[in-house]
Amino acid sequence: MRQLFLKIYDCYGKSLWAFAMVAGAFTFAIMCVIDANALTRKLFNWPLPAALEITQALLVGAIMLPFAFTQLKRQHVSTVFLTSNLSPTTRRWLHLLWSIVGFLLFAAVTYGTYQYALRSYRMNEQIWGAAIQFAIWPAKMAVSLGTLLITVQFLLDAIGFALIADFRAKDDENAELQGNV
Amino acid sequence: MSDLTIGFLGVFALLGSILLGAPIMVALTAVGFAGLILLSNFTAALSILGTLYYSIVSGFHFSVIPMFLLMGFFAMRAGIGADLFDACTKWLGRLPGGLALASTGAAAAFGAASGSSVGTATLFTKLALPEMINRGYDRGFAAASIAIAGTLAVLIPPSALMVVYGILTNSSIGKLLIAGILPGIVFSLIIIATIFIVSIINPKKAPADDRIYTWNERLWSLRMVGPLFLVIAIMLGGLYGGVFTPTEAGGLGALVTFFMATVRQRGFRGIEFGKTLLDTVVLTAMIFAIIIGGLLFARFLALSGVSGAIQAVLVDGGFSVWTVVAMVTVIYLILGMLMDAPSLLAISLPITHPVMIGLGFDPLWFGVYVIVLAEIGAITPPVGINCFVVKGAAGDLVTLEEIFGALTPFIIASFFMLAIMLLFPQIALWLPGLM
Repeated sequence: MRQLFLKIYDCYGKSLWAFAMVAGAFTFAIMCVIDANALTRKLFNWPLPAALEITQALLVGAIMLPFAFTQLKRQHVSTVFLTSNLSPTTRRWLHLLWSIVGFLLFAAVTYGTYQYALRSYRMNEQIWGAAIQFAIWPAKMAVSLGTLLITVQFLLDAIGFALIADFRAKDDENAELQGNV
Repeated sequence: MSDLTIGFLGVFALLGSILLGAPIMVALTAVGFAGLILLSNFTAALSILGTLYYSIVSGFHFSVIPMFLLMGFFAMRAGIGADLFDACTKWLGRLPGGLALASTGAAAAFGAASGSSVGTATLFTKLALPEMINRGYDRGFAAASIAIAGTLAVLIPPSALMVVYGILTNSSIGKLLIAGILPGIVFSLIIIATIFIVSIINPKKAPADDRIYTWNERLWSLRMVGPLFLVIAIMLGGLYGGVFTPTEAGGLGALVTFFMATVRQRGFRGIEFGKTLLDTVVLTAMIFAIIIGGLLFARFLALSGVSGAIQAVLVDGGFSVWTVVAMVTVIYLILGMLMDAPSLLAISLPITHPVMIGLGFDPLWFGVYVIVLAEIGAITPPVGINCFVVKGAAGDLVTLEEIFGALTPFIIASFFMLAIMLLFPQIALWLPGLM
């Protein structure tokens, strides 16, 4: 049972890595679009068509797709000032509690963002760029996808903390140092 | 239960859950969401969540954050830090405390490119600390000077933390970035002066470097750092002159540091291209999760009336302005010891920002002031994130007790900086006022 769970956890982690890499490609693409737009606008007085709208659409993926991978890597920062003094068992139950809270919260967020995206899909909401027109609902669906991925990640974390005594115990040591700007 | 009671319970629930180890973005979002349900209803709260997420993550102006982060990671991969340290050592090394001065100067310049306090502290611990210890420096003093120098990264523009403040308070991001220039330079000079004074009073702590460099060697050392200064000057000049938007400045900076890294490391493999992008998106997701949670929490506080109630008590309650400033300062210093800077801003600004603006303080000035406070928190025990980072990167070269023990002059210097900001607010307002 434990081995099966860890295998599923590992596989899911690999898929989150793939989503995060896609987000990385989006980020690099945003840089290219912004620079190309700035240069063509300044040098030739010819802004890149729909640069703003393309950037907005890419930005959604760049931010939302790595949400779950960030949680997997424990980079969503938390403070361990108090909890580092607690026993490993107490810490484990606290992790379980926050994983359940995270699961319930992001399940609600996913439902809310999905309803929002669904409305956009049903009315075929379009974005109007300077030269092109494209549907806005895929970007809104990407928000739901990102929150769905982190919902599942919190669920898997909750199962892991409930079933396995030393689940991700090593992460506690570096939790506070991670994710600082 | 009144709305105000719900609001205050929300504040306590937030602080309690954070202390009990909840991921800060979960705590902010959960308390904000639960509070909105209690104050309105489930459907309305869900609707706010749905629209808030999309409106933030699709905001064109917010793309400046991933651009600044990308620029920082490319700058790190380019090895610019080593070049800066080499150049500063050749120019400043023979002064009392020369290597510590060099690492501060290099960290300030590198911080302008990277914007990462933790990244700068890690890098310069590895670059400068072993050499300082080999040259007879006091271990604690050497490590403490790096820990404080690392914090300059979040003040000297371009700084992602300034952008976070701008988003959370709806302030002008371009003006905020410009507002950080003079305080960043002044704070760097104060730290340099502190190192210099300590080195003169007690030369054993930081002996002067006895190596002699020719003018040719000194000038040659500038060859690799010149392009970095050029791009930063173009970015800030472009922002100041209205030629670039902050997003364009970030995109340009990322592009130039990308080329510098690729040339320096001879290709994509050398700069670990995939890892660089991965590091960037992970940090981007972390920051935006906190921003979204912070904005949701701010809406809850505003709706409950807590922000207004605290503002009314502090602004209209007969407290002197300086008493309120002292209270706000103490709150930030305490919270800054316990959590990272973006979380600190997300949790506190919904309460402190309206109060300070109500008292007549300029939002740009307050932004810079808060960032300086967050920097002080980053070196102050018991948490002092930068001290842990330095210790982590230094391994057995220095103990945490030695670092904390040597911090006193730098903490005094930081308070001196706060005093300057309070007495001369123009230091942050003069440049943006000319835009």
